[in-house]
Amino acid sequence: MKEMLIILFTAILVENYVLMKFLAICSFLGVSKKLDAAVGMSAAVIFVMLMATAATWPIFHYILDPLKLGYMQTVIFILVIAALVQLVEMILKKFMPPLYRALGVFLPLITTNCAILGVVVLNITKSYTFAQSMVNSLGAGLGYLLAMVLFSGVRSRVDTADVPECFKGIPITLVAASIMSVSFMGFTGLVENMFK
Amino acid sequence: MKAVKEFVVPAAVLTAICLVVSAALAGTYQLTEPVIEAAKRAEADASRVVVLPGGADFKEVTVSGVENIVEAYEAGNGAGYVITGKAKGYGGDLQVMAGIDKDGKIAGVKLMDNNETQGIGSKTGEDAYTSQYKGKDSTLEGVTAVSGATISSKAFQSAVTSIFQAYGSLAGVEVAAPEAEDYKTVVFPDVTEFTEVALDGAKAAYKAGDAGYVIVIEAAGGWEHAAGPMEIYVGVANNGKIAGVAVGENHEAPPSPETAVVLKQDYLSSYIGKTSPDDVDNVSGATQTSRGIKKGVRTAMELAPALIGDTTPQVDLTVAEDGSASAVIGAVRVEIDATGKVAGVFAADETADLASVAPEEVKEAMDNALAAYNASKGA
Amino acid sequence: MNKLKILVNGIIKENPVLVLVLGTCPALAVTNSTINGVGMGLAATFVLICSNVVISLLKKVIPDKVRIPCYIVVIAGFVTVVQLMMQAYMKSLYDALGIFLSLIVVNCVILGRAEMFANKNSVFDSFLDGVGMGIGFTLALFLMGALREIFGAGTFCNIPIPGLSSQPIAILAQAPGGFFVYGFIIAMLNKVSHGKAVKRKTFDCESCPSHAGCSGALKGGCGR
Repeated sequence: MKEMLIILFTAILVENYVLMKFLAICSFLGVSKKLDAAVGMSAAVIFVMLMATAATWPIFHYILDPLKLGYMQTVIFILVIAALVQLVEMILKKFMPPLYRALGVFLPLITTNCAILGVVVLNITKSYTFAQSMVNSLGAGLGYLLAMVLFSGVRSRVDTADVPECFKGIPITLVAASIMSVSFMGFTGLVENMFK
Repeated sequence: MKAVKEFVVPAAVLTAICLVVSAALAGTYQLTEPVIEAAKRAEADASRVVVLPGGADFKEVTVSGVENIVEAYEAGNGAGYVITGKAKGYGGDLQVMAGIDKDGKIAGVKLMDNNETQGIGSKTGEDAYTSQYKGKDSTLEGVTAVSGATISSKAFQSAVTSIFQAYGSLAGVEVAAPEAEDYKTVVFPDVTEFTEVALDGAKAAYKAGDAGYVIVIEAAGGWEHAAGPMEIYVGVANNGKIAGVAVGENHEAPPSPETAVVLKQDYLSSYIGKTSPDDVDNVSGATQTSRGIKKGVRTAMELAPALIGDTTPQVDLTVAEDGSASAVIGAVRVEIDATGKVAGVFAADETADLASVAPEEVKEAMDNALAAYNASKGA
Repeated sequence: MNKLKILVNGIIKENPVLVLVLGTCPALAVTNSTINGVGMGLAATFVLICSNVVISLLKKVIPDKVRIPCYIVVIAGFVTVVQLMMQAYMKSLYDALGIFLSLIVVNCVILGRAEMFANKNSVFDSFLDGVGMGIGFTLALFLMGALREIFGAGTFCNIPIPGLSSQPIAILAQAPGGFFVYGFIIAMLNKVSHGKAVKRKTFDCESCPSHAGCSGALKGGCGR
């Protein structure tokens, strides 16, 4: 249990996939303008991350690894994720229209969201068990949500701030992200001591 | 026809592309695999050469019958062995890789996977600590712990000891275990001969020559987060007094320098000469550990009479007709007058001088004589 | 002349990282040292050139409906080739780039060029485009990596720089420094070109070149 909590909080805070690991920067910067869009995107990411982990972990450990096809990992995983996103989209559309309306618009973006591929590959590289992988993916997703929600708040201020002309738009957004990343650096070493 | 165009063709094309890509990758893999394996081996060998300079062509070997060994490699060129062992450190298992040359001496050690506290236990990974292992044989004589990181250092050393055992079984040589610090001699420094005696309630007990007994108590860890009990060595002199206290194996992690102090003789020597731990002060900042030691000492002192017998001093009391009395206790003769007051103190041996007797002993003799006199009056 | 234009386009006018602000993940993540930045750039260039050529060759064969999955499979295939090669011949770089090597698959520069250029143009043009874009990507990563290494670690390609190596601004080589240096470079480009150089003005989906690929589903998604 302790180990699971450590993995969870490490993924959320210490190794935040967005701010410390630089995954999913495109969507982090692209969709964090409005809070509701940020939350919707994050919910879709968490959902797909968990699904993708649940699908790729058994594929790797029960098919690819025994057959010594580990090198096919990247190709198989991205295909699985793409197929999964399609499938989820169709199922949601058909059986859960309210959820589809909430998440559907974000789903096509997610295939190329590197946090998804990143987290499933990392679960394999770190040789996590299935349960650990699921917890790590949940943590990665929650960390993404946290970063998105916090940053959407920051951006609503930054966009109206009076900054030098050359810093307007993209540069100041990146500098703001940098400062947020500094604050996440403060979590280093926290998690191991939290569950002593 | 439309259905074919809409569904079958796209699916067929995608499948075809997948197949071609898979085939191409399989080909690439076949070509690169031997090189990758070689590169991996070279990299792993490179890390082994760090601890065993001159080693090459490492082959994995299995070690049987030795615990706490992660992996072991033999250098194909006969330079020696590289063995990775583990031990429980402060933050979980820590792994140590050591190279042992063909003479059975350490060629190098390296701290591997570990979760030791950054800046404290992690110092066992630094050159200042690891370099002292170089050239040592299995006794590891002269290796000193990183101050403030005793637990990590001990774990490191224990991993190296396991490595030597593995080396012994691999190379087929007898390996001397490092001499554990003998806490019995810490509490009775002048005694060389200890014979084990049975004592219920103690972990072990030894008769320390003619000086007294050593009682070893396994007391609960004092520190609330201690991972295990602590071993307390209490030396009891024949007169029933504490001759010395030492703390053996323990898990009192020292997050504060105070805890480290409590475990050392500077503090523990304050027990010497006492009969109970009650008037020894706790060290502030390490109260829990201080209390833990006290508890252990108290248990030992409760058990001590079973070994040394009743230590109520033998008083040779002669009461005269007039009610005055004379008592000989050890080297002191105490004269008591009829009113029950001390009339004089002399050396028991007529020819000796009282000044040669320690003042404490004189005072004690007086007290004991009076106690015996009063007891005889009461009776 | 036209061919030269295609080649140079990616290096300067439409530099993927500095002008179009794409491929931000690797640009931030692996540029903590010059060598890593250039290594990543070259790996991505290889994949970009190969995928551009193959996709251009197959543009008549691939049905529109499954084009994105087809592109992804082709790209993933080349990424795996790069991974295997690096593992075999450049083990230390492979370890340094780690997971970001796999993530070239979802690098929007590569998918973007497949979608925007390779499936509309001739094989040779696509090749040139891949070379140009690749060089542009590599140069940008080199610039970021060099700046972060020089000021963050006081070294350049692991060679200590006198005066700087004793007083490095360590945070520049860490995560926050990535965002900061990137933002700073773009701000400086804005400054010297009076706001004309950087094509992408804000972060939203409309300004994303691979926007066309997902716009249908995204109407009202990003922009709202």
